[in-house]
Amino acid sequence: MAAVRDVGFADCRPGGVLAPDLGADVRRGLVMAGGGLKVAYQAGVLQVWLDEARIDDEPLGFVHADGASGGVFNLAMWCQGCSGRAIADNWRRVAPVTRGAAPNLTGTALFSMRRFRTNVLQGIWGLDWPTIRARGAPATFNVFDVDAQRSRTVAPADMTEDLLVAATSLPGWYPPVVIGGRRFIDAVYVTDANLAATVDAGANELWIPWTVSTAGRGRNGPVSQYFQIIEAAANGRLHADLERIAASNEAWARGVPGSFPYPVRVVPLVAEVPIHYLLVFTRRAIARTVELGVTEARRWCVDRPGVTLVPASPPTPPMPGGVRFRERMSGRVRIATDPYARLTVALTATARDVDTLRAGDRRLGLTGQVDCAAFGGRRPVETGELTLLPGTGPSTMEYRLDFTDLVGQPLRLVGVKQVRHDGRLDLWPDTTTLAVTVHRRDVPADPGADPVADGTLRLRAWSFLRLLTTVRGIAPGVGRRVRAVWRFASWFARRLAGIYGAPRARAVDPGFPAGQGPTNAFVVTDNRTTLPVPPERVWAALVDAAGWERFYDNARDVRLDDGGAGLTATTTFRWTTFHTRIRSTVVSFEEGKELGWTWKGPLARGYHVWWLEPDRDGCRVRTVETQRGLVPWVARVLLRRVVTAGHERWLRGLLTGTAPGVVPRVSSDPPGSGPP
Amino acid sequence: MDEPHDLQGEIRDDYDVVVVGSGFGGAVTACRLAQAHRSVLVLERGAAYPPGAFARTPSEISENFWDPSRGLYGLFDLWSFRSLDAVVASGLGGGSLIYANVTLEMPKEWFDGVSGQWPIGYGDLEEHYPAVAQMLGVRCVPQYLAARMPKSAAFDAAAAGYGRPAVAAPVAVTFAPPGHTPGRPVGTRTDNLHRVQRSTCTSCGKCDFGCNEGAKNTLDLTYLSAAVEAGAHVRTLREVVGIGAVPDGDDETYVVRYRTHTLPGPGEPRRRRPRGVVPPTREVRARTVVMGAGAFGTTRLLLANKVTGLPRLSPALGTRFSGNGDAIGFTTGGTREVDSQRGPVITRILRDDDGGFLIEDGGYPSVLGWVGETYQVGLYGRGALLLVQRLWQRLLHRRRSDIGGGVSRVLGPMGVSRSTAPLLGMGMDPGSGTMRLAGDGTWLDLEWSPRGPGTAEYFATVLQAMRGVATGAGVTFRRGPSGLLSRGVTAHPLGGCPMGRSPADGVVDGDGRAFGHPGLFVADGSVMPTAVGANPSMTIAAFAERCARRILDVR
Repeated sequence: MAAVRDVGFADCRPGGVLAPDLGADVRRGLVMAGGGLKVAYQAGVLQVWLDEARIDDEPLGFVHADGASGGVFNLAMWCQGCSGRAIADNWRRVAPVTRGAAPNLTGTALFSMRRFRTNVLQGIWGLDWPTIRARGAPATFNVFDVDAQRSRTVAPADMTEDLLVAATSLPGWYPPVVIGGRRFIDAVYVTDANLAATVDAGANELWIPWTVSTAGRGRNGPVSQYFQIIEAAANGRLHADLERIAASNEAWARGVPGSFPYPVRVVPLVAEVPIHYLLVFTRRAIARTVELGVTEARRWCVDRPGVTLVPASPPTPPMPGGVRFRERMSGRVRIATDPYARLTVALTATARDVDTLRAGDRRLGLTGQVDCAAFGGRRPVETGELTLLPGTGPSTMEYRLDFTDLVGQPLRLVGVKQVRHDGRLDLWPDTTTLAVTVHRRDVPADPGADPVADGTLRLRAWSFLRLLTTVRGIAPGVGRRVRAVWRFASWFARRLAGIYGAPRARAVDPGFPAGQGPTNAFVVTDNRTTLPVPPERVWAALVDAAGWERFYDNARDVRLDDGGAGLTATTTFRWTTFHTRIRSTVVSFEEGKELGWTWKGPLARGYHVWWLEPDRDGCRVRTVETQRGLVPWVARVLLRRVVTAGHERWLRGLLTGTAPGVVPRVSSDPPGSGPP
Repeated sequence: MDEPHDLQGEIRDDYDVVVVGSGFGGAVTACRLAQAHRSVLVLERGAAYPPGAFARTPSEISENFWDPSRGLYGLFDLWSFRSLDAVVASGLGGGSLIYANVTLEMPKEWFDGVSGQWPIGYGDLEEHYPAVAQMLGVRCVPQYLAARMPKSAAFDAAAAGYGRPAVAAPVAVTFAPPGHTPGRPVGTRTDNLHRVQRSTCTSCGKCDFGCNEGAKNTLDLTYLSAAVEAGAHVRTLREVVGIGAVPDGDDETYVVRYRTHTLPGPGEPRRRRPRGVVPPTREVRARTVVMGAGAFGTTRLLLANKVTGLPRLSPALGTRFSGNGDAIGFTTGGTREVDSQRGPVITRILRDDDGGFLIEDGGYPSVLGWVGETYQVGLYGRGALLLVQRLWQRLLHRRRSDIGGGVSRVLGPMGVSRSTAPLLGMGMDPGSGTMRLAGDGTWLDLEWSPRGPGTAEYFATVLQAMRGVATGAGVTFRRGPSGLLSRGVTAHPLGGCPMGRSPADGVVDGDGRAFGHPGLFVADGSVMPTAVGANPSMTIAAFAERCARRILDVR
């Protein structure tokens, strides 16, 4: 075997082939190499390099930064604009077991990143993806695309939390992350430091804090050997890259263009970090590693000519205390195929900072899923926001969830809880009743068109008790967490007390007579349809009360008190519906537009209204019924279903009762081409 | 232009018309609209099968099924509902790839019996039959080939015994002219979109497995080739999943979302789709969308999209399903040579107007003949006998080296495949089923029973007639496995988006235009409000011609 001279870190010393003279044209690139949790050491180094080191009294500037494997955590923080001290302080606060470890119950890997995401990434680190994407820092994240079997570099503008987690999902330990139908994993077996991407981005001096062990020591046992594979892959690839740089630099030294567009200097800081890549159990071990990185980086700077140090910056204040809770609301919505479809939302709400929440910024982030068979089962929420009790007086809780259904239709769910004191004992119903509508996101909101789905979701008492067990503070340290939860809970309680302690206001339900609206009614049903006939024809069928029986089998023995044939603005009539004899009085009567009557039955009363509206296909019909009284309260769960189904039959009956004999005219057709 | 049409070529963002599916509905509308200079895109979920590409070997057949979630992109899409099994095709040309070529008009008398349920008159279909017959090259099975098809004569004799004459089946097949040997090249390479040389029918009996000779005038060789000639974009392995209406004043445009399937390369193992992986979709926009995905495909797509994309569709969606009264039986025994493996699958038709049904002679490829023979116990007995005999001869040192006669005796007369003939029945089954989505919208559920009112009597009549035909030939009649299990079986699923006079009873009007969505048309078998009775392909194609004319009028 021929004698081979290995290119290595030794060649980075002055005079080495990896340390060419670049003159004044130095464009630094920062390579945040991977190393599992050993990158805590790298964070310590970054504190010194980014904050304390000076060259010519100037802070170090980096034209590009690259991250792979564990290094992407530091890179993401750097892209967000964190100072070196902030990056290091973030690591000092990580408690790996109590805040991050989660077993994986799906069998796809040993662990799951679920708790690490909520507690660390979204929690104490507070990675803010909109900011990272918008700042557009010059950086590349490395991730491996399993389906394409290729390593990919991703710019910050395209990064998401999913991709970040994917870039650190070490096979076997963590499951691959599925994004847009493709699976992504940690790129460590391909590259643990993408030097070429950094050079291609314009850097000619690569600063590399290298934490992967180069000692080549290994013990027996599968876990130890697993990480030896990683060391072999990472070090092997790094040295191959260094050799390529060396060859390129030698070519440039001879005056011939090398494989890189300019000579490249490599500035490594190599360390044997005394913690494991993954199996670290205490916060203190990580904090000690960060301090080790700080100490060694300072010594390194002192040893390196041209680099001076300024005093350390003060510790960053710990992140403000936030809270997080999970809630699950379920209920029935009307969709085109089913007037009574079940829809469930399971959400995690996160308030990043309780103090700003109290001060007036009432937005909470929402993640989770929307579950409805009509949308294809569980669909993940892409972006979600909860606006919690804005303002100071009576207020709302407004949920906004963007998701996509099974057929690829982008949808938005908007849910509102009206938190205002307008009934007796209405604190519980107000704060647990969510009126939802689902709209398509890809078409402009058309106020005339029916929503994709609308209905009412409820937070059940049992779900509320479960919600209480999921409330968590987000802050480093138990005391701060308890304080965050307390400040949130006390604010919330005081806010509700302020609203419900005030004198009762009158319920306002636009479109309903006073006291008959949906507010505080026990049963509210809402059915809609579009009929291919003009509104006049539907109106004629509606006011002909005696003729209802012809197309609605649930109406019997309709008798008008005045003996007339049709309903007028003041008609009173008796009839049997839902096996109940009731007496109805027309109270709203607007020819061709609105017909509403109040009714009284045994231990029940209510209001039933029809609205007609012309539409391009004919007539849109909506009918709403509200019920009050003892029987509707007792049988409310049953009645919601039964009355909805009954009114659906009524609408179907209107369709079969009015449509035959009418050939619908399609308004968009060219004139003169009526149906044959 | 010698290059075949690029079936994986570019797809623009906007077309005048997007046609979903390339069967008897989609291909016909695509052709007529392209010929009228509309920009047309045809999206077909299955692959293209030029003549010569159909699976024949056991290993090919084993993967020749459609189930993308398991990495299968083959020709046969099999459905098994609670009491009905169905087979449909998935490939460029749709059902025409695997149908038995019979291109028969719906009998007027039968239409009159159910005309109350149709919003159009018989004349509205009848006027388009000649155009379809001309495009598909329909002709009756010629008399001069009778010698090559012993089963025709056998069926005629049986029909005569039953008391009703059988007539030659009109089929869309290219036969050799009199005096020419079958299997001769016909036409030119440039007359079809695949750029392959076709040849005439060799009577191999494999029509239902795809015609490798190119003798079948399938839609990809006829209507779709004409569509491509007129500038249409035909794209395969694109499965439409979503259709969303975008309101535009009184009118609408549509966003069509589709998935691209990738066939595994040669030698690559097929891969199951990993759990939780949802393949990404792409979008194309069109002012008009024509559904031609078949009774199951169209109904499932519209049901899945009614919630968000097409909310104005009529509540009649999913109703009026019919299996077209398909029934199958077998005649066995007797001494007459039937040899159902020779000749096109269907050559003769017996029509019974009283019962409103047809009985046709079936055929099957020779491989199934072998399979059938292996069920004969005597075969194994005779084989064992031969072995014993050889052993005995060896013991006695009387070795005979010439055993041809012995092997032939083992195989015996192979009388089963020689005398067994399938009988196919179909007709005006009055029953109807209802389809709905189940399982979070991922699969289709069908409520239909062969014992429903009307349907039970219908099937009793058809089976009685089949038995009569068998008796006429002096052989026995067997119903096959579906009879034992009391299940229906169909190759002609119809209905699901029935046409009607108003949204109260139909999803589309008499021109195939959806009520409530002015740019959405349905032009396939799913619009048939009742059974067609005859093999429905020609009626579907005629309706698609009508639909295309209407689209040209109003869009």
